Amino acid sequence: MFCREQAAQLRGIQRQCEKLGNLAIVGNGTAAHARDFQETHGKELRSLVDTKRETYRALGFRRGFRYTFGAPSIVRGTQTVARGFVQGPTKGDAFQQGGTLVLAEGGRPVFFQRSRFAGDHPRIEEVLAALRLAAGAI
Amino acid sequence: MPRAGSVDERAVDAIIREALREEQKEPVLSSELPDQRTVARLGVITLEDSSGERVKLGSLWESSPAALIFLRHYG
Repeated sequence: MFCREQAAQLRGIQRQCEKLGNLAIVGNGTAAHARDFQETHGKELRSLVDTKRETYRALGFRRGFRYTFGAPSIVRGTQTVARGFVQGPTKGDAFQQGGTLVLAEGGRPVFFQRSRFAGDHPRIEEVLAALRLAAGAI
Repeated sequence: MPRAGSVDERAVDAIIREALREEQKEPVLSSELPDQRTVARLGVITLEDSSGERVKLGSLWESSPAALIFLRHYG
């Protein structure tokens, strides 16, 4: 459900992001999982699938039961459900956490966030502001 | 006072802060910017897009800024 909420938020800023640079979601699971998510929730978002979770390891993203089912995730989940997003079947590694990386042209990182628990995402305005910064538009 | 059926977002944030304080035995999770070595390592990874095409991740930031959102799973 957290990824559905994230995708919905990203679709809301997609046009603004595309004027500034590239926006892509990266998921783990199979290519079929990614295609299914793309059709149902990703829509026009550029979607990449990391079946081996190489990028997740490279960036040191957390993985573990307690980060998925700990108190912070459960509490955050109540918010997400209240906003109308429900949990679907797990398609990918249930214990893998994600994050956000924004880079300037050439690969200079300007913003990085590692999720501490499931549902721990930066505010969507922060992502857009970081991309503006990366594009030199601030 | 939140409306019936709504969630008090400040209360939720306070509960989460408290729960995270209780987990302080965990190693500190740094969100420092990745170094150039990490970016270089990331840049050579090739992933499949939804049309089945292979995309070298570094191509996303080669000639323009890029925002990459890493999801948990597709659920």
